[in-house]
Amino acid sequence: MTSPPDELAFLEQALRYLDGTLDAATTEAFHRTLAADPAAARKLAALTMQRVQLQEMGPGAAVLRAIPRRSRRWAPIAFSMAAAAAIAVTAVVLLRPRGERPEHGPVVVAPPVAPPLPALPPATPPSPAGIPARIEAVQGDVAVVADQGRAPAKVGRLLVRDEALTVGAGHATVRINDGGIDDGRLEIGAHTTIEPQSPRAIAVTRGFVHVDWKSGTLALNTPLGELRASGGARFRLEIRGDDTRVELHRGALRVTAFANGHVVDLEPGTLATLAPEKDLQLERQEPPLAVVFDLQANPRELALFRRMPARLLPLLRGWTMDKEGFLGPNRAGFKCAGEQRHALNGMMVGAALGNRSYIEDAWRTIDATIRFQADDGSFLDSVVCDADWLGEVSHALTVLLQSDWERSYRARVKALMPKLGRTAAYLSTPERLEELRTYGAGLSKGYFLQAAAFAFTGLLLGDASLQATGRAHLELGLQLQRQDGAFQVHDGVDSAYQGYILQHLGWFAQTFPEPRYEAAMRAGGAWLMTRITAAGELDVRDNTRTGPGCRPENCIGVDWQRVPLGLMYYGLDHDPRAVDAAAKLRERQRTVSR
Amino acid sequence: MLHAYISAIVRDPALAEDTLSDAVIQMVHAYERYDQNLPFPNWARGVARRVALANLRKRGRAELSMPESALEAFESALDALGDQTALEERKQRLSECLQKMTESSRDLVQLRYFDELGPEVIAARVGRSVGAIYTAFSRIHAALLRCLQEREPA
Repeated sequence: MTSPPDELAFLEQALRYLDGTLDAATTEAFHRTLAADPAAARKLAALTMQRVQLQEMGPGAAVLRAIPRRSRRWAPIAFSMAAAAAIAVTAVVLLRPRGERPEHGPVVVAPPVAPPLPALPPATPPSPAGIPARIEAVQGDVAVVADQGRAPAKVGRLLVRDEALTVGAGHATVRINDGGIDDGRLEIGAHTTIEPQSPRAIAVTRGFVHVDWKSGTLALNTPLGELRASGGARFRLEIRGDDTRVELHRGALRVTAFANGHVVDLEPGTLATLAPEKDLQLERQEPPLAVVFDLQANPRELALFRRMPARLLPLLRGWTMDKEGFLGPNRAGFKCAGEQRHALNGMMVGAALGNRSYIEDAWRTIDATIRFQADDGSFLDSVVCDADWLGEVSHALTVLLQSDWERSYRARVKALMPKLGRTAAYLSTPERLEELRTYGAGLSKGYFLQAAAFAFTGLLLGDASLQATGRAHLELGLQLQRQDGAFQVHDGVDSAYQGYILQHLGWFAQTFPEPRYEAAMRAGGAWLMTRITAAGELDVRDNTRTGPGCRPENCIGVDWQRVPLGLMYYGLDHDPRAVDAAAKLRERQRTVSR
Repeated sequence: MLHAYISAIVRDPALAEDTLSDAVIQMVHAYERYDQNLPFPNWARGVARRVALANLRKRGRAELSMPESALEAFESALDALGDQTALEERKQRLSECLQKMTESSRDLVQLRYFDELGPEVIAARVGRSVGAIYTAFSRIHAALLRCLQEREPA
């Protein structure tokens, strides 16, 4: 026997009504129907009771759910009446003090009289539907989607139950802050959708989420399984295609596979893979560098690279090398580590395009260079050579670690890090720092590349002191920016060096974002655009290093890969015309010199 | 009974639970003012209703609360379902009816009411649209209501 269509239509509308998803006009019409039609009211009453009773039947029943909720600290399970003189209130009170939050909290069955009430928890402003999930940061295409439609996500907004936060090409940070306590944050990657279900239960239907969880329990529901994190857990969840992958960096995480009900408690360094119709796969591996969590949580620079024209990227991989991995003058015998840096763009291009051979080529130059490292961390050349190489290599690794390739290259990166640390330590003595600064004073670019050497190596090693040295060098470089946006080069300006500086400054703007760096990028990029003709040529007439005005001992040619890269670091965030100009420059490689 | 009553007023499962908790606390506090010559369920519903409206106001949703006329009709319909004993029997019958459902329907019930997943999440999980999920649940509830009716004691 089937139900009449109008009954089914009414029930469907009633279900939407009880979920609070009808629009205002339909809700009002529904109310009028209830008032006018007793049969409709009876159906709604029966349906509502049925839903409540089904909820009470669930595993653990309504008494206890696996996912703790704010309301259930006080959840009464039964409230019955007695006749005559007294009321017997039978209440089962679930008390869950903060900080303990057991998965299945203690149940206290009260005596058949009104129990003494425990002290009320401190009043906290509840979120609109009990979800203390606040959008803390937004970058790129991020929207909140509800039945009413889609709206751009705003920083500070609380997410409401039945709303989804969807990230396109961008990134968002959501902070869970229940009862005034910071419980943790979720870094929502590109092409990801999450839907908060309760204060500590969030559905993730696609994409990447990095979770840094501090206290209590968090449940993440995915199409293939449930993840339950305890305080102190840091993990990465990735739902891509048919597979769901979970990598625990630290703490404890329980994974339940829906396919067969398997439950596994992961240990740090374990990668768990969930797939339809398959057993849960576990793979033990060495944990990544600590910084990887943050780099992958918000892979800003990798995302920027992916916004560069794909046809252009292979042309920006750097210089060609010989089969042993040596470049330029080093092909005739190793002279300067810094010359080896000119192929490292290939690592970022490879990471962005998913091309392993580009990454491998870059590694070949690293391996070739490191063979010449002395015990003191130097390469037995000049400090400038060492700093130039360290800046480029530590930056290139930072971008590589933002990508999916991190797992493939984890062991190599970890093996390399102590060697980079030795070079950084070698360069950090007062005399060598002074030598670097003297060089940088004449050529702004030097400050920026030295800054990268210390800041990015410090980032990878988790060394705050190195990062501070890097920032100090960057400040010196910024002081050489003129009012019109040009950076000083040998007592003048240089349009090609302006491009190189924008590239290096862009690294900082992406990884260590600060308004000052952005402002310097804007002014510097705008100046460089005044040196590019409509035909796509670089005006080098005033250049003190790469143009007719250079001193004979200083004259060098234009790097037709770095100038376009500098323009794109500027243009992608500030001026789309600069991206077109970059493509034209790379294609034509022509200067205006008279 | 009180949970169902509040659920229909606030139309948000989490808020319904919060409201039920708040209402019980209010009742315990206000119990001394309760006139024991009056029916307790009506008094309890009155308290619950005030708490529910206050919670809706806090969330800026008071304008969508059930108007008096609809609420009266709904209260009468709830009362007609019977007292606590009748409701317990009803729940037992519901459990039996659930066993008679198809496996796919039971799976959906599991996701929605036991696992507390929203329709959108269920839709994503089973690869169907949200509309299709609502249609499926309207059929499930219709079947359960019919089954309950058939098993109603004479």
